[in-house]
Amino acid sequence: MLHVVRNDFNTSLARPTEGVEECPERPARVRIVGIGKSFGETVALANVSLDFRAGEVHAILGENGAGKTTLVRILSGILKPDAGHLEINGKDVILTGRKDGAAHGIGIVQQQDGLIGELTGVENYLIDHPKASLWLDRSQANSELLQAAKTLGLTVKPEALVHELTVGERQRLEILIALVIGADVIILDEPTAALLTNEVRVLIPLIRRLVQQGRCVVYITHKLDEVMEIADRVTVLRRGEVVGRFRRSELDKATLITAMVGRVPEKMELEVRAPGEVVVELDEVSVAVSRTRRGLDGASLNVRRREIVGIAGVVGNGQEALAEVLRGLVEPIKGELRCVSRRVAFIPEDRARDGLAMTLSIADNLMLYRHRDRRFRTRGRLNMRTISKFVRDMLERAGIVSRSVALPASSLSGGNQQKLVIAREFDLKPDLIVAHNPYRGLDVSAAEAVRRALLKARDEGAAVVLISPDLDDLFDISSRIVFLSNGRVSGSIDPRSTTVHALGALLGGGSM
Amino acid sequence: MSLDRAATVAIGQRAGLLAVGIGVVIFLSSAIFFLGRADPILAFRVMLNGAFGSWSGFSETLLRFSPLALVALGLVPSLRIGLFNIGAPGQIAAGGLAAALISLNLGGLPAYLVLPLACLSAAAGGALCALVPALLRARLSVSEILSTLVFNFITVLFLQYLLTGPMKGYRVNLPESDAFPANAFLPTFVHGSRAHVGILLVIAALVAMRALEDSPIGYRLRLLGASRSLGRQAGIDEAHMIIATLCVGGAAAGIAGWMQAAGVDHRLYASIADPIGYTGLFAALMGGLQSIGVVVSSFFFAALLRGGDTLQIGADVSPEITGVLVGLIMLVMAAMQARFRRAGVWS
Repeated sequence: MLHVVRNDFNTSLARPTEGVEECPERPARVRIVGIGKSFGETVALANVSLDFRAGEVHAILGENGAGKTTLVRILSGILKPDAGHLEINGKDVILTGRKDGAAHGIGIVQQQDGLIGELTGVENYLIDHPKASLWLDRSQANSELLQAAKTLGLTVKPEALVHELTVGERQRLEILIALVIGADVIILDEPTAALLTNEVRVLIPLIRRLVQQGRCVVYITHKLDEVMEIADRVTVLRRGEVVGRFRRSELDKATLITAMVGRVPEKMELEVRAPGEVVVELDEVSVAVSRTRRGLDGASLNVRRREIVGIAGVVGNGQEALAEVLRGLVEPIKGELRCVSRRVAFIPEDRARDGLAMTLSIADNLMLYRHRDRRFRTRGRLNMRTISKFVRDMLERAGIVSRSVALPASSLSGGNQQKLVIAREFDLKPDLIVAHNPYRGLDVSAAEAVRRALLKARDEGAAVVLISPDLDDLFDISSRIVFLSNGRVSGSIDPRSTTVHALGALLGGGSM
Repeated sequence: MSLDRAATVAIGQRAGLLAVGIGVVIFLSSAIFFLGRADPILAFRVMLNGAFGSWSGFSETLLRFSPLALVALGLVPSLRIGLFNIGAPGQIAAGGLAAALISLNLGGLPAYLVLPLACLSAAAGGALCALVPALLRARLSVSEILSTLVFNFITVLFLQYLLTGPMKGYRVNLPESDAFPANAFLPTFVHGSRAHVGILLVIAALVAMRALEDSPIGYRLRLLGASRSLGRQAGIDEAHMIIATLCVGGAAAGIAGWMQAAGVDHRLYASIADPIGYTGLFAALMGGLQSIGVVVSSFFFAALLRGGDTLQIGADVSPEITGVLVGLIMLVMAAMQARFRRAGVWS
């Protein structure tokens, strides 16, 4: 993940950052000039200038809160910038409304949920089409999509309901829809956030083909390895400002990290502990299957104190059911679950749905398990003074800075939200920790904080289950890794004697 | 908890929007009066005068306020967890019916027995009427909006059947029961005014509600309303909460039915739920689901209803127009609430 880097922080930032470099052989499709955007007192983007040129992969690198998403929203037409302007193919444009970017040839493939799950690919295409009319010609739309897929050498299923597709299939479909609508510039917003290793292997050649056709691909991410692999140019954003511009020949991981984080991160050495007693044991456990997701089908697993068991597997093979049954939120319909303790911490995959009540205050969110405590009650009422003090102590220990504990949880950055979840869940000294994709959407330093918290809890004697579609994350801290497929747990490998690629091949099963 | 209230959107902004909303309502209702060939200014003056212009007018406003506020306050807990109980009319009718059965049959008992008994049976009747939709929602996820609406038809029409048949009074040819014995009348404060002691129940409900809001149960309601998933993780029994909150709303509406029967006409009549049933829901929503706000908005609607009733005499406008005004106000409020939400959203 992270490596100790040499401290060339100053030299990298001394690079000229103002203006846009000349590159005469490639025409600029989109030019962003001095864009600024603030929300209240928060400056999301400040004087950002960039251009996207035909035939290049332009990576925009930055941590959470760097302003990447705001930039995407401005380019799609959802947000209006406070300052600066946009030029598309040499002409000044003002984008108004969510379809306007698409109408000007900017196709955006979102982090998640860019397509409507209950509709088919064809229907999504018809809805997204800027000239969509009341009368839908499905068969023509279908053949348009298939035709476009053929020229790119892709296999897609435009007639299938989107929620039945894998994340990778959805993404390819979304790219295709953007192309058919007429996008010259394809913006991929964190495209690999939910993809498996083998699906990333399909995405990268696709991006290359798009670029060969003379299109521009804007690749927005916080993952360095991907940037190193495919970017022709890289722009690094930090706190809404451009802090570095690099060409392919100048790319260097250490420099990029330093530019992105603003300081030199240090890697914590991973030590393995001797596992203790079994904390939780699943014995042939089955969990009911709902219409949209798979349950468990006779899964067996045991987890001991002071070990981290990584759960690998393609998304949608029962991960959610496993997390919920371990957390005690669903009962097995068959088999037995034995857990020595009721103190189970849960870091859910979907933070906005299962981790925090976004509209409630930070204090309310931290009181989830504590609101029954007598010490917070005087004569039947919750005592706000003791609660505030307790909550402020907790925030301080978790390193979360907030103006007031009365602000809604949604006012925190993604990284701080995850810290809030962890602070609450680890507060009761859990014996078992269920972490489902805990680094999802987090930047380098926030992910590192979560990683440290997991390791610390392990060292203090907790049993940890780490479920993640990202093999690198699993290899990073797991004591052993097992696979989840079709609701069953199989195999057990030692991450120190197997390589990520060998395991990836095993998992992918050649299903490209 | 009062913390989250402290951190809401800027008050000035809210007040500004509210002023705009009031302006829009006044403009639209003036247009309606104008179309009805009435002088809008006269109509507003008559309404204001009718509601507040005299002691008797004010006591008539209070008479409408008590049941309305009770219905509205009762709806708050269920609304907090996102349940829309639109069954207040049916629950009022059921409460009125239960209270009438006690009052008519046990009227010989002293007032200090018959009044509490009638009140309790009204609460039970209203709660029972809410229980079936609550169970359907909790166990089978049947939409409470649909089931409580259906129950309005069942209960109100059943009441009408009873009042035109088995329970029909001797004297008049109207869907009404016999008059209650005087023991079962709700006591009034001042002789000659119809404003009754029901307002004490509203005060009690307000106090209870304030305590609830700051209690662990209030926290659980808030949590469940904000996130079903987190509610489950905190070990809150959602089904239990659904049943309890809907039944509380039903009980409060039932008591309001008793107030109408035993406090206004001293008999049970078929249109007992008009117009407080649906207006109660509006008052709860307009009060922002906060107890004080709900009481204030209930008072506002009570004044509006009372003022509307005086329009016929004062400005030659039929009182049905108040229904139109209530609807208009709700529409403008809903639009403004969406506006508030948008103003508050930033990413």
